[in-house]
Amino acid sequence: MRRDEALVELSGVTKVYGEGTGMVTGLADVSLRVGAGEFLGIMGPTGGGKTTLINLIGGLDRPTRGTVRVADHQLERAPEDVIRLLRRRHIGVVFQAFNLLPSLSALENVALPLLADGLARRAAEPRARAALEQVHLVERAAARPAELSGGEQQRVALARALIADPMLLLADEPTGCLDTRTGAEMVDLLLRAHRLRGVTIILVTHDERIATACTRTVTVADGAIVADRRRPVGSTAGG
Amino acid sequence: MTFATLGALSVVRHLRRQRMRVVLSVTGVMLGVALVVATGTLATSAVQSMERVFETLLGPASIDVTGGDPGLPEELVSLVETVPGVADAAPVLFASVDVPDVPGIRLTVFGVDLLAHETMRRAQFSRAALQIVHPFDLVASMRAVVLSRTLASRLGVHAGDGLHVSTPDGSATLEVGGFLDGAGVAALFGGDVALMDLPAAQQMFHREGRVDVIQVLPVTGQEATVEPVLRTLLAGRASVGRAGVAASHLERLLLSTRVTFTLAALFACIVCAFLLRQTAMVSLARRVEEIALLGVVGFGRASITVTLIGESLLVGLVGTAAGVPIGVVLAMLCKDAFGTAIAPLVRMHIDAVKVDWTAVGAAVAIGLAMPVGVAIGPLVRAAGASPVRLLQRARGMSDGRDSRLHRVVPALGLAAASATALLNCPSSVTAFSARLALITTALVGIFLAASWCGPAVARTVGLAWRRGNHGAARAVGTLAPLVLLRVPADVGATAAAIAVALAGVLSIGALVSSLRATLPQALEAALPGDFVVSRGLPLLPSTPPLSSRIGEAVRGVTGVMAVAGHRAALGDSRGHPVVIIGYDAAVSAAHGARITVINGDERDLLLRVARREGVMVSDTFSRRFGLGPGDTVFLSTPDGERGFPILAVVLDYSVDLGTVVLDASAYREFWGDASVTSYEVWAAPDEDPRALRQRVSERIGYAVPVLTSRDMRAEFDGQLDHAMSIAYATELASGVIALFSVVNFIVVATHDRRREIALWGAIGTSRRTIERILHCEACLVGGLGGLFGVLLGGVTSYLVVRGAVPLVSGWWLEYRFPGSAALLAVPITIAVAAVSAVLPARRAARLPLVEALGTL
Repeated sequence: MRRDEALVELSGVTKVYGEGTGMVTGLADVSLRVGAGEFLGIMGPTGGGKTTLINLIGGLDRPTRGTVRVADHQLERAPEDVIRLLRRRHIGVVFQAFNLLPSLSALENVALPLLADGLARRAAEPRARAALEQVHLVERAAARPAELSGGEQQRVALARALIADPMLLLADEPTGCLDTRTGAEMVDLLLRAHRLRGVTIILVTHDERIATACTRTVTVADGAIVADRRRPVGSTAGG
Repeated sequence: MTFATLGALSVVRHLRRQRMRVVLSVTGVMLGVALVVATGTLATSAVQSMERVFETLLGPASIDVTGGDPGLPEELVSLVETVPGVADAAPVLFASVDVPDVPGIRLTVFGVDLLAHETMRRAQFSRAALQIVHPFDLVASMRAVVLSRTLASRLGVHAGDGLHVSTPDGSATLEVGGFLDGAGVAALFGGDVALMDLPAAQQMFHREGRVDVIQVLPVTGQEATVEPVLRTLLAGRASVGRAGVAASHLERLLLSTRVTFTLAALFACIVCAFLLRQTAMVSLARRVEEIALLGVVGFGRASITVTLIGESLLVGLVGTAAGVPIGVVLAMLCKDAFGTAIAPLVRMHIDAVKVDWTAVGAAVAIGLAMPVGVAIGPLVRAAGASPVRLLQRARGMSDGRDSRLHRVVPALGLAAASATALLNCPSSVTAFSARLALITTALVGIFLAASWCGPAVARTVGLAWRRGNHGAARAVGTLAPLVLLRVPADVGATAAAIAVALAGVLSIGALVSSLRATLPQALEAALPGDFVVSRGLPLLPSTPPLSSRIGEAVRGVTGVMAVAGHRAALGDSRGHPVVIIGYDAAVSAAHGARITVINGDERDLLLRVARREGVMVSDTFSRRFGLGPGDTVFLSTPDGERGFPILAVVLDYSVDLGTVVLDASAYREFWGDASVTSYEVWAAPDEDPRALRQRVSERIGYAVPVLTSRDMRAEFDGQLDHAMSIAYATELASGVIALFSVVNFIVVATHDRRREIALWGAIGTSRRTIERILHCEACLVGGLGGLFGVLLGGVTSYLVVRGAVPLVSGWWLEYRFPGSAALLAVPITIAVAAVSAVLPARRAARLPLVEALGTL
């Protein structure tokens, strides 16, 4: 990928759900370029297409029309296994509802992408431990999700998303289920990851704190991008 | 109204959404019900077929006089005719011959007096039905026979043709003198019937002066007075009753066979119950959220409970409604196999299937109670649980604690109690129904204990795997075994279902192996001669007898050192059918015969029997009648009841009715029957037994088989396979049901974890890896079920062979576990599970991620 090329590029993307009288347009002819190292916040009213957009970028869904490029991969026509490989190694995903496996410990949940990539537990767990340290949860490595608070679960989810050192982190309302204080901690962790690792972050949020931390915010409403604002260069994130 | 509302809102829609699960549940009920109906119907049909035989033969006569082998003295006919109120008394002789040219046909010959008893004969054989070419020749010739038209067509014979048959004297040629058409007698025994004039039949079968039945036609209106007079007159010499007296004997004969098949059906029902429970639990798990929300909005616990139970009842109704006709069809399809199964006892042909409404009633009760019974506990608990807890469970947020993991100790206690009860049944429990109830309860207890252990076993294996496989495991090795920890109750239930089915297969296999290990050896010990001349398995009452001429011919062959003639006949001991063996004790004792004595003085036992100091009785007889050494057994003889002192109780496996063994000369004297069931032959020391066997066959014209011990074993194996064919089929059905439970588990396991499986995909797990994880889960469950099944099969097979068999038949068998079947069991169940997982795993790996994750 060339330095001036976007890491993520959507061109004329339309996503339609259902058919006939039940047809719903999630996105309509949306185009977007996200450069490497950006911290992009996607905002907008409920049902506007934010989650649809992030799902398409992550390869969790395919557009009805248009193209979606992530790194050098055209996701709209790539084989499913290629997309999954991308997600194992280059794209981390954090969900609003945490989505941890309840029968695995925190450590094992974090190690999951490495195991999926064929690594043995022996090799994966030290890296998972290190990832948990980054989110200040190493002392809860053996705990099951049911034994963790919401904030702790989301931190485990973040560690899982970052363990493979991805180039892109996608997060759908990562603080949606968290209280104010915990949400703030999550924002700090995201900023840390962005600053220290240089990972490109695209997240959906209603949280103004996160929006302030973003280098760029895009507003999606009624299936279209209605606003695209960049934070002026030199101003600090979070302030 | 609440129930109706809930029913419309919840039950109907749920059943429509869960079509596959409903189909599985209905199928489980249907199979269990069908097997119970089929088992009962077959036994009832057998008895009723025999009743029809006698009714058909009885014709207008309303009373029949019967006796066991070798039949009644013909002079009793005159005696019966003297009774006031008797209009006519007609004798009938039954015999059977083989048609060597057409293997598989055994002709039932009715010897009737064709010249007399016109009233009765006209009713039995109408002029239109009986086509005799030369009537005088028929009665004048001692070889003329009337064949059923069906049989004649099958054999391709015409009037005047010769028909080669095997008789007690060996080979003979009968002359076809006419044909019998239509229904009635001609249709009995599948049409394999022939008529002979009575004197000719008596001569041919060496039954001179003997008949099997005296058909009595009372004067109209005097049936009620004639019967008791006949009973008094013939007490101790013959049985008097309506048509079906002999058929009621058959019911007793069939008892142990019926019990065997009932137990096989029981195994299948238990497997069905497991499947139903699993299906109900799964269905419940998927509706937990719905049940919780119903509670939140205000539906009462009773409403919810009754509605859910009604759903189970609906499944039971549909399954039962389908299962009953299927059971009848199954009985129709298996009636020939059933006839073969009871052939060692009595030869018969089930011509029509008659539904056993008692069995249907029992099946209906089982079919309705089973789905409700297995689900009622969890349903009541779910309906009464806190909605918050239910919602947490629905969203996978439960803490994984399951009280069902802590039932191991009570399970082991229940298993131990069940096994102990079965193996130590008090001798005071003599009623057959009580013994059957004990066997059923013990086996149900064992299986229940197994199901209680299942979750704990699954969890233990899961924990052990996790601890032991720490470093090297990758995605499949890490994630697949989690199924044992995540849903140990579901895994345990599925494994238990597989285990129960497998235990049934292994138990039947152990029974067959044990029978094969014990019976032929016992027979060989009792018949140590170099070979046996017999028209079937020796020492069985159903084997057609041979005349003394065969014995004379055999004795005259050069190289024959000794010949012992043994007779096995059905007799009567105070109204109970027993087997009487006239055993050539002196010759047998002199040539190495071994009898296993269970109770009594075994010193010179056979010689004492030969000296007519008393008789031996089988272990079965002793248990059944409560008699032992020092007691007296009373047997009906043609001259009246006679008592015989019992010298010892011995092992005997000829049939499970109970056997009385006396010296052959005593049998001949007291029963007036010189025929022999089998001749046992010893070769002279320097003779080649094979060459001698050939010479003996030549001497008797190859008309009678000459069997070595290997031949007898092969014959026994063949009869055993036939007899167990229905049991094998039942266990196959159980295996199919168990397969459903595996499929059920896998389908549900993948569906219930849509979100989790989608998450695997979301973090990048390839489809192939996901499929492999799910395959591995299925194989784990299948393998666990297989191993569990082998262990459980070891326990239940021992209980069946050493607990149930002695209770049912009195036989004490050498226990043999079918090791090769057990070795194959685990890989087969794993393979079946792997194959079952192919489609569900494929579908699961291709889930639309967004929809399954619920991120829309």
